[in-house]
Amino acid sequence: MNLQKIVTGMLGLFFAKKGIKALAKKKALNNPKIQQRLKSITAEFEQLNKELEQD
Amino acid sequence: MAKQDRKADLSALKAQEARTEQLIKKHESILDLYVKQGKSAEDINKKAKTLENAYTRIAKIQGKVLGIEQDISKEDSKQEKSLIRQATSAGSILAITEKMKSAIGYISTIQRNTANTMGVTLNKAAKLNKEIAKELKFGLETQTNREEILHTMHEMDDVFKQSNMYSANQAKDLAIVSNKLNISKTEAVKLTGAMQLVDGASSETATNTLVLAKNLADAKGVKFGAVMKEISKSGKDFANWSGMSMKNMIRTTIETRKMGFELSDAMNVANKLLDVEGSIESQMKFNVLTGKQANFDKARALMLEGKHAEALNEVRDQVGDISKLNILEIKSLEEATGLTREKLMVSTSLAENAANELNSAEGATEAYEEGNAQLAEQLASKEHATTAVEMMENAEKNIKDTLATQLSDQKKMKSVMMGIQIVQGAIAALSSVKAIAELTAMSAMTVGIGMIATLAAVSLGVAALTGAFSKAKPPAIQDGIIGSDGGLLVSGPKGSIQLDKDDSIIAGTDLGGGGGSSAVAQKLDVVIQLLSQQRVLNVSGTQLAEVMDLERIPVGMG
Repeated sequence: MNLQKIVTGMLGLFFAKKGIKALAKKKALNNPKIQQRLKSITAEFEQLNKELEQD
Repeated sequence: MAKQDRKADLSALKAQEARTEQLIKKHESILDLYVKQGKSAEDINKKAKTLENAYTRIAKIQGKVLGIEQDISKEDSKQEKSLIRQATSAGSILAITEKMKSAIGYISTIQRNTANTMGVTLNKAAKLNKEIAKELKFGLETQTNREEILHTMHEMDDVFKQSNMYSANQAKDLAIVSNKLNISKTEAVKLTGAMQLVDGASSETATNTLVLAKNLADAKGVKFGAVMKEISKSGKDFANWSGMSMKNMIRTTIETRKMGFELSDAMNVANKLLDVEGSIESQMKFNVLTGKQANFDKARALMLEGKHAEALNEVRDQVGDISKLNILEIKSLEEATGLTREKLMVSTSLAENAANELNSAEGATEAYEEGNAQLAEQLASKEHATTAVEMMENAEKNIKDTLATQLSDQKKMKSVMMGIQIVQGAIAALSSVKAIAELTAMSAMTVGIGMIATLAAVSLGVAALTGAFSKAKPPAIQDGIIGSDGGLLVSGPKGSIQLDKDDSIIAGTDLGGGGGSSAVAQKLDVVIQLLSQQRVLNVSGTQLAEVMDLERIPVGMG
């Protein structure tokens, strides 16, 4: 029973941390400044790709 | 919508980046072809310049990507810390609500306890508790407590038969006096109740009489506790038989005990002596057999006057030395006096010691006869009702109980309980509070909130409580969920929980053979199955076997 509790507890902590990490990443991406910069970089890639396609 | 946009932004960037890489590869291939085909230097240079330009620009853009990745990582860790903080504060709420539940449980318990003790409804019990709480004065009264007052009231109920014949204040005073005199509440109530009902004394006078009786007993060297027990045993019969007031009966009991007799002995002697013909005949028989000149006329007269102790004294004096009586003489002694030889001999021995204590006993007897209230007050103030520890316990209990009576409306309490259940349920469903608290090494579940503080909070009312909950709204964690009671649940939107590439499994309880058909058990079955296939299972890069042996703490779990 102790082993069962230890394994359950450790896996519980593991998944709790995983869950929080995943959520934290989502929240980070939701930051408006980061979103704006992502859009800007995407636009630069688009521009470069257009030019490369024309050449 | 925001969620979709956010994902779309990142996907769009990744898609464009991949497209750029493809296009650059395409141009590199074309340049190779130009060289192999021997195209003109102009064409080759033009393509090379295009590529050079592309390399420069992509390097710049990738620099920006690197920057944003770093910023995302920083924001990520900021968000993680914030989430953990929110989760642990949710743990605090859970702990507080637990305390509140136990506080409300306590209120309910004392209400039910009062209702059962007094045999009344919960509403009436709440009113009674409020009356008692007034007497406890928020813990300033430390000489007794709610339970003792309630017990005294219960005894009063038995004696007076009507609840309007006594009050919580009288019960409190009597409870304190009984503590000071170290007699049981039952005995104290029976005696003072009889003084009130039979003698017509007021509650205060009856209580004072009790204190003065203790003083008298002390002065005569008689144990007051033994006096109380004797009255409790034979007092009713004696009172009915003698028609004596309670006050006089207490004095008689003390005096007869001082002489080594009991109330029942006084009754036996009186029954013998007042059977005049039989008494004279047995008196003569005793005198003939022993050669003594015993005469019980005076004793008989004293008995008729109700002076029982003095009558017993006279009998003892009349029989004189009885240490050398034979069997027939002893038998005639018992027939003549109604007393055993042993009792008379004990009494004779005690009488020799009693002479020295006469003066102090006279003062105490006088005060008892007068019903000296001032002396009673002085005497009572000298006695301690409690030990230091009992005083502290009473103070704590009384504060707690006084506060508990402030919120005694069961309807309100039920609504608070429902609120607590909802909040707790929400917290439990939202996050793995306990696990996260442990992760951050914060003992959120042991928030040091004492019962008194919680009761004080609860007594502020439902409105304040609801306000507190709304201010401390738990965080909306929507992803990985671990049941705080040790059960393991992992759920959430697709992709919200990502395992490392080394992670192979999700496992849970049942290793000990506990059984059950929970999702956790099923997951554990998968673990066992994989282990039986000689597969290496990893948790954040650490082999599960190592996790189970506790030889290492897996990376990312500490």
